[in-house]
Amino acid sequence: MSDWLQKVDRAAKQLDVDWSTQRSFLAERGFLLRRRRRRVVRATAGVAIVVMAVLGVRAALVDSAQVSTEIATSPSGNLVRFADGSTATLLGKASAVTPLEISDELIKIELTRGSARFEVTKRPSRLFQVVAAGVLVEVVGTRFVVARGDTRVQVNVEQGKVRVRGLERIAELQAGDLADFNTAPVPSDLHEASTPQISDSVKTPDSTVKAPDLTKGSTKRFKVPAHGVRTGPNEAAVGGGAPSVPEASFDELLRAADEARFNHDPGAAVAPLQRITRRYRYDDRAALAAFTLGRILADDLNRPRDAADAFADVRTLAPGGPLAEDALAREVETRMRSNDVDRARSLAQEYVRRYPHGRHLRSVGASGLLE
Amino acid sequence: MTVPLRLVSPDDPVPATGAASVEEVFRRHSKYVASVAFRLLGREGEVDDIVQDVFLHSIDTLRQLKDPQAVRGWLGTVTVRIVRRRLRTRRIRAFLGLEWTPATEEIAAHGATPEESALLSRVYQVLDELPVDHRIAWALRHIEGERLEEVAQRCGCSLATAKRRIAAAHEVLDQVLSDE
Repeated sequence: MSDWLQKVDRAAKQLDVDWSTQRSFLAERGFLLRRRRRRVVRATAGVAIVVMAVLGVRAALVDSAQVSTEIATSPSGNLVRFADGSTATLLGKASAVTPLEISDELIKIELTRGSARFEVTKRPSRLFQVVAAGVLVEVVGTRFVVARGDTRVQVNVEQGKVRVRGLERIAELQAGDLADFNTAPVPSDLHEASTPQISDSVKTPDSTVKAPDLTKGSTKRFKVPAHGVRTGPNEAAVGGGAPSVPEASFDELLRAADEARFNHDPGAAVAPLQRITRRYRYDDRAALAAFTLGRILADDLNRPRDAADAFADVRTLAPGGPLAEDALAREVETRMRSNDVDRARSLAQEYVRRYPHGRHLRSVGASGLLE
Repeated sequence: MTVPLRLVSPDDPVPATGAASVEEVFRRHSKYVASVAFRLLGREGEVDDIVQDVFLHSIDTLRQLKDPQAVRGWLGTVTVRIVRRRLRTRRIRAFLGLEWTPATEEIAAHGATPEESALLSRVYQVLDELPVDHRIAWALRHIEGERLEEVAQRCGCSLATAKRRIAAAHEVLDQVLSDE
């Protein structure tokens, strides 16, 4: 056996991937998400065939007690029933819903026009989502009304709890709550509150919107600022004093980032990853989120300065962690790209000091920062 | 979803009851798949995607697996298939100018000397230039350390073909590395 091959054989025995718990966790999430999507595509293909057959006998489907179709564009009062027993009742004229995804784990419906009441069968293993003009309502089991206007989406919860992901923030609403969510970016001055333009609702001077008479019993009404934050009846009204609603959990934020990346929209992954690194700094996985954020900023969005800050944060969050070496090397690169040469040089020297046999020695050295 | 097989690897104790879930299978075997993919590719960047691809392909076929003890070997075969496809696609795209192939990352083998690590990096640089089938066969034999019969099985070819591919790759490597 030649000399070089002996050395290769010896070195290869030490060669292995750094497959940390964190990395395995992220890969598992990606695998489960892609698997779910693949099953949805197959299920949707089957649904499309069913829908085409259904449209051919549309009139007979108005009596929808037995209907399992997921599309309805019929006049007010039409009922859409899903296989798990959940229903969507279309309200108002020309209301319409469209199924986006249907699987064992997820039912996702878009409210394309008007308003609808949703009664969702309680199943912890299945997520039920309603999308209206970019506002996402997530439930496990409850009853609520979503009304779509020109500039706002209104959500009224009659039973249970829902989580609403608006364009600017996420809110959890309970039974009796009613809230508006912008469908356009909020102006910088949050005290501006334009009157909601919901077609079937009554407007009051203080921007509280009375919902259509859909509920039974009393309904708590809240002053709803333009930015969609719910305040209680005894609490301060619009403005900086409004209490914040519960923040999304770590898993929810991570899922939002995963979905954005898998939808080839890396820009949309930035905000949830930033939230993770700000709010969940003591979570073991925060460093990985920061590293992922850095990669997106550097490689997908060409924002090297922000990327460098994210990589620096990795080493703050987990100084001795498995990503520290890679983060330092990438910070060197991104500081250079953002013309912060002095800082890059200092970091390159630190890299050499900390990792004399490091795997990025060549690239750090090739940057010309080391004498 | 529960996979209706009791899956075990040679290293793990046999579960007392029931079938392994999709998540359990992934956690038990993902490290192995990642290791094989990394040693075939010589770079970290695509390992995570390949691990996901392997399990996406695996889960559907797991139900047909007759011998639970062969899970790891079978996962290795699927990994080779996925890596081969990835390498071929990358090569075609690079040829058409659709993809810039970055320089081979420096390889760090913990416990190896810097010289050995540098040698490994050089080996992968040369492997990048070889036909994909030759590269994979050689890497399975000399980096993964598989027996010839296993190399043939993973590559889906005869033993004679596996030997021929390994020899062809070795000839090029020997020419390049013996001179250096």
